[in-house]
Amino acid sequence: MYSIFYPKKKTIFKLFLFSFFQLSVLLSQVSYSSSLISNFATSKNNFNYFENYYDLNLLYNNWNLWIEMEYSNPPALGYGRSGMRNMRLEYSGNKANLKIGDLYEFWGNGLVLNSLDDKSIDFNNGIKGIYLNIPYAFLEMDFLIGKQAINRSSNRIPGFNERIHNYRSDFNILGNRLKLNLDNIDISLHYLSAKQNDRTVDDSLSVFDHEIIGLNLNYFSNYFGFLFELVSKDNNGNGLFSDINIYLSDFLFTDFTTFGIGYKNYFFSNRSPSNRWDIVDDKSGYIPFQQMPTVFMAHNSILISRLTHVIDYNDEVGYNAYIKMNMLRNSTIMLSYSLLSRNSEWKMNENFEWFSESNGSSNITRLFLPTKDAFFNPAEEIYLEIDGYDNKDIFYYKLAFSKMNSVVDIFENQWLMNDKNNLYRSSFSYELKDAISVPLSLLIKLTERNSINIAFEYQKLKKGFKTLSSNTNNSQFFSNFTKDFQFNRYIGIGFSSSPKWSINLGIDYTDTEERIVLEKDRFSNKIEDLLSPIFDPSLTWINFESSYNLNQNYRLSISYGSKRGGVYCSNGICRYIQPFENGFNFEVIALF
Amino acid sequence: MFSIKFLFLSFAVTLSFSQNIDKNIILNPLMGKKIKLENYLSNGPVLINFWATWCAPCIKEMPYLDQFEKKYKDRGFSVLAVSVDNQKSLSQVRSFIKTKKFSFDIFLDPNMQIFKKLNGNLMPTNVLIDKSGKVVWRHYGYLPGDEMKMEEQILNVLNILP
Repeated sequence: MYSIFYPKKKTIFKLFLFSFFQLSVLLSQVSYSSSLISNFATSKNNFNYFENYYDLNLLYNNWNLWIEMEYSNPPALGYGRSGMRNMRLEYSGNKANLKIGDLYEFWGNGLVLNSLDDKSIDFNNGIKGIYLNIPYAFLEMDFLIGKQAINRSSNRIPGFNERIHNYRSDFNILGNRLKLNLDNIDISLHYLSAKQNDRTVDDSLSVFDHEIIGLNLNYFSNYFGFLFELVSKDNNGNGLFSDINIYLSDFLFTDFTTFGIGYKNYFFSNRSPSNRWDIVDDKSGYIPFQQMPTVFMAHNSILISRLTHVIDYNDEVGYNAYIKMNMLRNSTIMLSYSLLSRNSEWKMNENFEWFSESNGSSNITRLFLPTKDAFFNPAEEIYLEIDGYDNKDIFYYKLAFSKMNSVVDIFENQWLMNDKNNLYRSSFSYELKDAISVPLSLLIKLTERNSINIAFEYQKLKKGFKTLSSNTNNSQFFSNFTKDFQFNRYIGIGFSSSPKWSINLGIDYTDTEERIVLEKDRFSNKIEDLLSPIFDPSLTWINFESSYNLNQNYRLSISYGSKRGGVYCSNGICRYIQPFENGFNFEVIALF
Repeated sequence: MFSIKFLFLSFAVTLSFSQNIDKNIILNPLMGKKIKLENYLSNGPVLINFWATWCAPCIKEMPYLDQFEKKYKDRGFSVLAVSVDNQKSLSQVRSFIKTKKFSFDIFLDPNMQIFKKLNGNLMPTNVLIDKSGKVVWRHYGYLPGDEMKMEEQILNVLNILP
């Protein structure tokens, strides 16, 4: 044993020992923290995945190293990967801050630059490069240079898949920001240039240059708040975002009231309904690191969040007006109204070819306010919410009402000339969505540590096609469902015992499905079979979930059952997530 | 003999690692100049709470954070509520906090960079840091009653006997 460890030459041993001490001294000044998330799922409909993400942060004086490792085979969404996902070295000093590696930056309100890694929709527009920030008195200067490879999905090219992106674009990026920080006001100027390299639908190489210049202004006081951002892209597209808040203490019968209005007017590309979402052949328009405010309510209700309005960053005008009132102790009432639409109407000629006022160029008359006209793809929502604790903190409630309607897609809008040489709309066809939702959430504390959660959500949904035929001259509605309306309900019942464990049973059921979905096979699970006398297993998704905190460093979660799929949106980007049928999901989170 | 030395040194090296936090972490407030975490730590312990306007458990937890900050502020304790709202809901953060009348300081982390640095994985995530910059307690999620454990930890770090 001794002979194995003890080197024959003492000098080598001393050198080894000295190196070891050096390393010890060095490491004694290094702090670290790391975490591991492991997620395994298997289901009857082959939505199987095994994801592992390990994050390590090392800190040495003013230096910080962040490494994210990934082993996924396959991940829930995207390409499988074994190895390093992200790495960044940072230096934070009084005179400068430097970042080298994978950069995720947010300038202003995101109209020029907003890079993020959102695993829930497999969207990563992080930049591999160098970022330098120099603060000097009330000024800040930022310099950015790097490369970016973004994967997205397009059904215009082969290999379209619900889980894996099939189109890659490479960007070379250069950016600068100059920011002035005063007491209540921030002003910044942003500049970003990007060279885009990718391929067109016929597989030929495409190179496109983008240039964005932006001005951002923020002002806040105790009574008033104001956000404003204006950007110009490639000298022909532009975007504007603004948000104004007024704060009133003891207003009428309230403790505190906020009046607010958010406004946006984005116009980066004028596209016909048939190439509205084309990223392969049309490179004009916004670029993927412009992730801008949507000016539409973000919801955490299960049923409302499924009613997604896909934001058109290229061409959309809209506002969101709201009042938030603090009534009793921690009880708040919110009333919100949102309306969005496109800036122009696209029509079809006698040959069923799309045309707009400007034939696709950006020189059109833009709307100042959105319209409810169906041919402008409007989306509208009225939302009312009340939430709060009772006086003894043993009861929390949240009740909301949402009425949302939108025109999803326009397929036909033909205008012809009549005998008197006047244009008239001869036929049209578009898909609409109209819903009323009422989510209710209750929390009741039984003892200091034990509580029950109850959730009930109700939704009446109308979805289908509205058409006008020149033959009959009558508009008709064709429902996507086997009935005129779909009634969705969600029931959640949970129990928790702080700080250790919680269980939850979620029952998501409906009375009809979309015709195309009905053809798909369902795999009912044991709980669904057990409750089949009450809930039709072919239209019900039941899931049982349990979480256990071993201690502050380890958390385990296990779930069994089914989860309904659908379009899932995050950061204004939407993606279809397939259902999870009759399976297990096991998750471990560990901190080291 | 060497193996004993080796084991001892390995143990010493392992012990020398600590979960200290980067005091130079730059926080981006809702308004005004960026501020370093050490500015707060120089006054006393800090509880960093990661939250979002769309996170229902975070909203249920926040009144307690407000209570704790008001209660222990005189002893140098601060709550830093770091919102991870992205551009979709970012403009709602200030109106939410103002309407709820919370008094703790609010910061923005729309790309979850500070969240990642502090090994945040779930919402809400709470990280309690003592004056020296050492992480003394972490907690993921919020179950009703967790606020009692949180207050216990705050009292410990402030050296107050319950």
